[in-house]
Amino acid sequence: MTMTPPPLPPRVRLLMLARLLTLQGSYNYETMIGNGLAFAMEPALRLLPGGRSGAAYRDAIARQNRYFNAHPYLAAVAVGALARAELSLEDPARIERFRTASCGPLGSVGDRLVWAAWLPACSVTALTAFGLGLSWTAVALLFLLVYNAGHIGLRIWGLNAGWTHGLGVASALGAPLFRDGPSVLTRAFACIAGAAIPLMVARAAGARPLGVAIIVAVGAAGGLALVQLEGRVAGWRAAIWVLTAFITAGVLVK
Amino acid sequence: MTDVASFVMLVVIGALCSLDTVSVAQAMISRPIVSATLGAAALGRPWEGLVVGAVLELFALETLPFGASRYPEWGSAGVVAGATFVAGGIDVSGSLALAILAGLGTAWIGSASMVWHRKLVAKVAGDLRDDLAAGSAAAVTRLHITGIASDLWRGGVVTATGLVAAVAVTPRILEAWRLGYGPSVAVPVIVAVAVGSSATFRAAKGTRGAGWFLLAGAAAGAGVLAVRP
Repeated sequence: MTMTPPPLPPRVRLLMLARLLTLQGSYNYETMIGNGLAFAMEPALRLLPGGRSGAAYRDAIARQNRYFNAHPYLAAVAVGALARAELSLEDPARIERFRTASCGPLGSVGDRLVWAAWLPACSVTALTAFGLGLSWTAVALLFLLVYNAGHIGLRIWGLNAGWTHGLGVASALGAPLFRDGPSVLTRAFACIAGAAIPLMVARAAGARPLGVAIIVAVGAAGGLALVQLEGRVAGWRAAIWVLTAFITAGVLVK
Repeated sequence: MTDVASFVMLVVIGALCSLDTVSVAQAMISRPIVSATLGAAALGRPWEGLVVGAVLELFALETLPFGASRYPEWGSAGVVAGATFVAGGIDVSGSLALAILAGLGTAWIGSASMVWHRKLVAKVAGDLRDDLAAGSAAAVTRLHITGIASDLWRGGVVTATGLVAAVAVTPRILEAWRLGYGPSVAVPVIVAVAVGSSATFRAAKGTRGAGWFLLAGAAAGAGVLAVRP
């Protein structure tokens, strides 16, 4: 029988948020972030009838530490929704169905929004700041503050949205941020990257505009060649061999 | 970098930056533009770290931490690269190439070590299977703390390995280096631009209109360079 959950005290919410920052602490190839999910939710589960020594608490912990996988930031949505479902004494079969069904959307939406768009956009923003001559503290702080404003904001939103909507939280993932955000951010990333690369080359290599043009042109040609290989070669791994050959030549050449 | 106190400090910073990669926070202090700066700052030369970190950041654009995929671990790598660049010297021919290679090599070791670490955590989870299935919160906490502690150790060991290798070879290679300063700097930067631009092209290719944004950005960057004194 489903019942209204008790209110989530601010202290419990904060504790869950803090634990969400270690969500992937026990990441492994068997249960993925399942254990982390249970760890993050545990402060809320203490509010179940019987408290920490009750059967409901143990059953909930047992359910929640099984396999689960999602984007680590958006997993906050699942933590909030599942905590509400457990405290509402929701049917375990329904909880299990939600756990299974939410892995895919929470993974793909987070990957597209954060890993493929927000992180690269923040990264090239930092490179632009470096290229424009900002100090090391300004570059590092700019990157960390801008990135983490989005990161922490997303975790807080996720926990609150999950708690508010419970197992019906899927509708929240249809918000414009998740629908249009990735393409808007990717365009922003492309624009900032276009400016960042020549600017950072000028500063890192100490090159004049002509030298920058040559480096960027040759590098971009290499980049196009890598794109043509369609992922068959990881650029960073290939770079190890190229640089090893270059360093060997640098030592041996007369 | 050769005194024990600096070495220990770098290993601690490397371990903490590694931990940020997956296990704790993911606040991106593990990104090379931060971790390399921190590594070099520990030796009193943050600027060198920012330079090598910015170059490594182009490589990192290609390698985003999608799910269970295997990706380089930039936390320890950045610290090793920053420290190697400080040890080599910013104005020394070959130093940047060597620091970048030290960073990429450490990132490779870090990537492999993350796989071993995850298998180890899975083994501990297997050992605790009965307790976890019985709903023991103590077992959940134990597994979690074991995972974090193991990852911290992993990061420390990877950083130490990278630093020892870098300390051993940097002076010898730079002593024997024969190429001029210009190509010594240009080649590693070209390689980084190739990898970073490939990531940018791929992103632009997959999003309608992004190619035009890329061109507009490139024009703006070129314009700033042209008018800058």
